[in-house]
Amino acid sequence: MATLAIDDLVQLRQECAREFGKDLSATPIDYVKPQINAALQAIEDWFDSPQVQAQLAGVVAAAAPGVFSPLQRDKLVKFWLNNKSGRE
Amino acid sequence: MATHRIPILGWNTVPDTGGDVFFEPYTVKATNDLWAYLVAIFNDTSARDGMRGAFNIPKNYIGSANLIIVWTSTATSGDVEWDFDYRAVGGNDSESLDQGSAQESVNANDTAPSATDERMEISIALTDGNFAVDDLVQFELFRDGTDGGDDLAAAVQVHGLYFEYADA
Repeated sequence: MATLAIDDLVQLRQECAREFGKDLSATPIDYVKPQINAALQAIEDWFDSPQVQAQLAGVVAAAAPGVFSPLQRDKLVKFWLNNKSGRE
Repeated sequence: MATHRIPILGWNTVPDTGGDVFFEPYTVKATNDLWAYLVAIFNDTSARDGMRGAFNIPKNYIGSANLIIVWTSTATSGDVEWDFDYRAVGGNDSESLDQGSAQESVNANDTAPSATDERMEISIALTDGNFAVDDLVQFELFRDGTDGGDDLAAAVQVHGLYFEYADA
């Protein structure tokens, strides 16, 4: 599981602050850098864990057997998450 | 004796080239789109990002010099680390404007507003004897993201930067 680089953390924090700033009553910026850094790293660790990767591979393979490579599967997750973010 | 504050941002104010200090209308960060004057944004980074300028010491300067930063943020937790480097250059044909170091470097830490966008003010003492009437003061104001004391996880906005001093 990869450790998020400092530059990645900075970019993620900036993007979160911009997004949260659109509705501070719903998404206040009431955390500090170490807290959001830890939360982002935790999400990274969770997603990259063998268990989650195996579950993801399993559900995609069950829905569409033998169709998507691991790289395609990762891209499916990326674009699904982008779409979900737009819907929420 | 009276205390005065003069604004020190002006025509010659320029952010550094890193892209994380810049000017934008306050309405970009604010909720109410009413007060659209320019503010200086210092982003949340892991670097020491700055904004440069210069100003003149007034004719009635005696002492009690302070830097006053008026700022705010959408964040309500954490601290920001401010650094201020300057050199005061005086005289006529006697002192170089192109010196290689700051005369003084000061810093201070301030805490996020208790509610978003509340006016924050911090005063940083400067050495009175470094300034003389008519000096040109070259300066750079930094947000120091390399300092562990800077843990505010959002941009900070500078709404005003002042040189405070006392007259006779």
